Amino acid sequence: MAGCTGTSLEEHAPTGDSADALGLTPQIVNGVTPEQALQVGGESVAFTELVEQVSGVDVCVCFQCGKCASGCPVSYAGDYTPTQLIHAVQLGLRDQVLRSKTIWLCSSCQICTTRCPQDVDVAGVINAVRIIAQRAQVSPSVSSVPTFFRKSVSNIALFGRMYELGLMADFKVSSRRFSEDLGLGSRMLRKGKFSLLPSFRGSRAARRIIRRSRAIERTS
Amino acid sequence: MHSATAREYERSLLAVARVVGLELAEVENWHCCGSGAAHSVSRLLGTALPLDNLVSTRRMGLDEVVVPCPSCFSRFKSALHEVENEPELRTQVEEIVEGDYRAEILHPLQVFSRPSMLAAIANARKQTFADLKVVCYYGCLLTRPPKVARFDDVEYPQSMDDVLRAAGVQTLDWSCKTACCGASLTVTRKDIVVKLCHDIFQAAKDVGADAIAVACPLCQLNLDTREEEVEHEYEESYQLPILYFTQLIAMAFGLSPGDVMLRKHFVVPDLKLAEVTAGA
Ligand code: SF4
Ligand code: SF4
Repeated sequence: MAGCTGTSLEEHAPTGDSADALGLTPQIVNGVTPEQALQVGGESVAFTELVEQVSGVDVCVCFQCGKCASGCPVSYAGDYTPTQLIHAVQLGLRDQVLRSKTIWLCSSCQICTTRCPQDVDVAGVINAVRIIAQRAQVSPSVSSVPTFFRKSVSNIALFGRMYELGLMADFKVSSRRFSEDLGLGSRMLRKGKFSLLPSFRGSRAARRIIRRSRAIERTS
Repeated sequence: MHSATAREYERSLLAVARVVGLELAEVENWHCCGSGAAHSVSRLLGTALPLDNLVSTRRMGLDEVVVPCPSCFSRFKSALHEVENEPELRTQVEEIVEGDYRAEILHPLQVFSRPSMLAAIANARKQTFADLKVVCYYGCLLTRPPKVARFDDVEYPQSMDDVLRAAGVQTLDWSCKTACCGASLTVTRKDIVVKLCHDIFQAAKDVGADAIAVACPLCQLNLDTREEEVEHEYEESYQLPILYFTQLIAMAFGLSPGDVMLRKHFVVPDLKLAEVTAGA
């Protein structure tokens, strides 16, 4: 299951993007294809297995048809398409996967998962890779996204229900984006789109769930 | 439903439910299901948060939950799907939540598009919208992935069109019913969001729509607040109001634009309402 190989990455390589910089655009050197040059085994197999374990998805059934990439609304902005990302997971290219921009730009729209002829939950794989990257504390290539996730969870732990104004302030301070959307934020305030005060109802129950799930994850 | 961002959705939804005889109670002591964030930090947390709310629902003696936000709807349904299919996850979740969590998750569109409800909606009409052509935007998570959502056609859903037509609103066919507006990136990657929203506005304009009807607070907020930037960036004028489908139905039932808080929107619609004439 793990460590399987698919077709060439070349077919879905985005043009002029950072795939080159990451060394993923295949170049045949002395008759050796990049895949032959890759050392598949040991650590790379362990990475593939870890992704499969966290996601519950068998990535090796992907036959690289490219359908997930063609429907993806954000692949134009990423470094890898979803198809390439799945291939990289199959090959166990841990660093390329965990450092990619695409894993953070994914909007979780589920188009890839829905259309895959092999029933690969591509969005589920990307979500698992996000979790692995955060646990391994790999410095994220789009840091605002995991920051936003973390801040949202602390917001729930504090207030039980989302306190949007508090979340936005917290996010802006920690991501140092004080000025972006300031005008929009104040128009939203005037339109009554933010509650000025948080509610604490449900916060005790939410904290209990967060505490218990952390305890289980520490021991497993 | 929580949050000041969607008060007009809540208010219009409750008004419509009252008229068609749908009884709704708020889940006691509910907390956020973490949709859009918790699941990407920990799958266990992202599953336990929504299921704990379902335990509270079952404690109230109820087993059907109407979830108006598709992002939450999808999180609840995915959580149930995941524990059903992954025994290890189920064991861990059951160590966290105390009690039975099995319940049916419904989006309001699912309830209102039942034949009896469509008839009730048609019967309760008091006002019509003159010259208003609407496209229905369902977004990502109401129908995707179909194994989880189990609702309507995955690529070309029809339920919102059916419900609005029953209320006397003219809806148009178009190509972006289930496109992604990028709402989950609106805080973090505005540039991508502006492009995705542009594609949706342009498709709506191309078919001659006057407004976009939505069934999601995140889509509403994202499309509505980014419209001005899209117009600026692409040098186009759209002026398409983004209306909750429940606001349109509530107005068809006789509520005023003020009752359904149309002024809370960024692009404020100028709707012309007329009384339904006998036989119309
Ligand atoms: S659609 Fe499925 S099989 Fe095709 S490339 Fe994507 S993951 Fe692989
Ligand atoms: S879920 Fe993510 S990767 Fe899949 S199509 Fe949507 S944005 Fe692309």
